[in-house]
Parts: sequence; C-alpha cells; structure tokens
Amino acid sequence: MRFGRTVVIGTALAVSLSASHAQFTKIFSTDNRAFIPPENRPVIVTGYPLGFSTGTVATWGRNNGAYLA
Amino acid sequence: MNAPVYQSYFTRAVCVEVGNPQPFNQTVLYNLHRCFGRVGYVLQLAANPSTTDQAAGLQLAIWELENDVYWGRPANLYADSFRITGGFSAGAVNYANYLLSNSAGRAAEYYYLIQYTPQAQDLILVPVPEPASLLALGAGLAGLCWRRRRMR
Repeated sequence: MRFGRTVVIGTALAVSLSASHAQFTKIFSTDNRAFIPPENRPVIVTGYPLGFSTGTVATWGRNNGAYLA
Repeated sequence: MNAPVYQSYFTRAVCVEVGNPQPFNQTVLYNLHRCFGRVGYVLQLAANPSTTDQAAGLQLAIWELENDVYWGRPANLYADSFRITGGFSAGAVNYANYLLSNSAGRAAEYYYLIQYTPQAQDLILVPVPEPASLLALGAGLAGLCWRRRRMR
C-alpha cells in the first residue's frame, strides 16, 4: 500500500480525552526527520482499544474493553 | 532520508500527545515524516505487539519518552511529568519498562504522522511484517534448505 492513497490505521493504541495545544511534540522536535511528500495525506483511524484520562497523568484500567484489531 | 516509502504497510499506530483527542472513522489530514531516534528502536523491539499488555506497554513507553525521557528526565513510569497512578496492568508496565530499559542509547528509523491542529493526535506508525516480505523470507529459507539438501 503506498502512502499516496488514504491510509487506514486499524488500531490507535490509546486516546486521551482533553484537547489543548497545537505545537510540535518533544519527540518530533528532537529526532532527526525528513518530510515525505505529498502534504496532507488522508488518514483514517478505525478504532482504539484503550482509553485514558486527561492531563499528563494516565489512570489505567485492566485493559477494560481492550482489543487488538 | 528522502527516499519514497515502499515498506508502508501499517495497521497500528501509537498516540504521542496525552493532551489531544483522536477522531475515529473519519478522514484526518496528516503529513508523513521519516524520523530517526530512540522511538524507532522501541518500535523495533515492540513491532507487531501480540497481546493487549504489549500494546498498552508500547503506548506507555512512548508517552514516557515524550513527556520525560526526551526532556532529560529518567525513565520512571511512576514519577515526573508522565506517571501512572494505579489500577494498572502489571504486564503492561513490565513490558513498558522492558522497552525503555532496552532502548537506552539506541536509535532506529520510524515513521511519524504529524497533525498541525489540536483536533487530532500525532501518530507514530507501528511496523508489522508485510505478507509479501514474509513470503519472500519463506521462499529464501526454502531455497536455502533445498540447496543444502542437494549439496549432501
């Protein structure tokens, strides 16, 4: 599957519930990187197994509702 | 670092930002970057996680890297900026600690999807074995076995 088409990602491993900033992450700003064109690739994330609470502290259930696609 | 992506078969991604939501089952526009760093080595160690504990442990490790380790703080899942507070799966924490301790000082290539708005998470793509690659590997091994039998 080439990245020129819509990329469907079956499982995002986790999602948090609050929205806030729009700035580079520390990982992205630290590591060497090279942009791979084209810009604005359509991506669809189709599911997630784990949920977390807000902020930088995550509470953790015993994988309640967790699944692997 | 500018070569096109041809090994681009991914079925999973890990979130990077603890503070952003992730929309599901709808199109989000991302820009793709090929990156090189410790995260890539963690992904090599955790490629194709087979249990929920491994999947959760990989996510914990990425969050610990993003919020503490990449800031120069020690990898400690119970302290500093990112920490877990209870009710956790011991297997997930053990796996996260395995990934963190075995990736110290190492680096590898990985793929990063960046979203410039707070409407979605940045995502790190988790490599999985491609069926075609596995077939090629299997064919190669079969060829080696066949050649060895002929040489006897």
